[in-house]
Amino acid sequence: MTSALYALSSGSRRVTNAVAVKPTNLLDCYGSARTSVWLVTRGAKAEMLIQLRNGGARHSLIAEEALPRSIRSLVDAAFAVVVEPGERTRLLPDAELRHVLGVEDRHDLFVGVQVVPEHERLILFRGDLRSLIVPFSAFRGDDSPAGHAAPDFEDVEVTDYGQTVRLGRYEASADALLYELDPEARRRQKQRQMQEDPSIGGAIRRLRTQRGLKRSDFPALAEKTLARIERGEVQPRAKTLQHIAARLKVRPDELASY
Amino acid sequence: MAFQLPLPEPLRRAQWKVKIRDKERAEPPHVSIMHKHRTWRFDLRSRRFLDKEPPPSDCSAEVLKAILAALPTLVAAWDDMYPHNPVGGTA
Repeated sequence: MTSALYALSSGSRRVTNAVAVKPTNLLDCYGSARTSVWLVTRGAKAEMLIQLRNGGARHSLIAEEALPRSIRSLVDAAFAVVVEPGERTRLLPDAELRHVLGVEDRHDLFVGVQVVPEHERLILFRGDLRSLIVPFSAFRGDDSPAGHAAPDFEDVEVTDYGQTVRLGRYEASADALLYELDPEARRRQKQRQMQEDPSIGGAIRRLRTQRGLKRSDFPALAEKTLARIERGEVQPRAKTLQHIAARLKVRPDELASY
Repeated sequence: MAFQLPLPEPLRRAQWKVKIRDKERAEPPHVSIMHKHRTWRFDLRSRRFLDKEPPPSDCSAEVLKAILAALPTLVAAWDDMYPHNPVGGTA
């Protein structure tokens, strides 16, 4: 695990793989050189956090329930990122949240989502509390089959232990969103695969299908030509690559990463 | 709407799920086998696991049996949701 996990818990609740934070070790945990995620469980005594001071750039915090208003500004000052449930922010159910925060690859799972309807964006919070900004347009395909559920941006949550984003009856995999939007996550996913066509043609095919496009959706390029490029039978010229990349909404130099 | 394969009660109680969601990694066509925070992708064309991690050996044999028994249904569901990249299409 690349970052530590600290937990302020109430009663006898323990969080797997977390260092339990108490008033007696609070400052030692905060002073640790490691970057960390702090979890404040429901009912925990969050007020102890007012003892913290400066130097919190390494630490992020997530709370299962809204933090007391009286300490919120101090917590904001002590932590680089603070995530709590609210009117526009929903977190995983408590048990799933605690499980996800305790796993090795939590950075590729989502623990919460905030909707920003004015700007047609979602902010997805990953298990290490980094954010992934996703435009609403990422969930709508140009050719969504008729009769299929459209994403409902007024009913959004993360489910399946952080592996699914649910928008009404529409579901998106965390995997697919990270593949499209995070080059580092995409690289990790490709490393996990058994085998994959490493050619530029293979990358074009994967990204074309990911965008929901058919070969006929490239007006300046014959379908047969694109098919031959995808099968590796011909190498595309620079101008052709530019056209393909533009249609797929990436830079030409990004194509090979898919 | 996501397609979810009905599984026997013991597997459901153990929190296994098999889904094709509205937005997946579209190539190659596959089903997602989910258990808590882990997902295995099972290729509908080759009938093999797509990834080294999580180890395919960790996936429930009973879940795999249910998938193989329901392959025509799963293929139809994928083709319905991803008509631009059907299971039977050329890769």
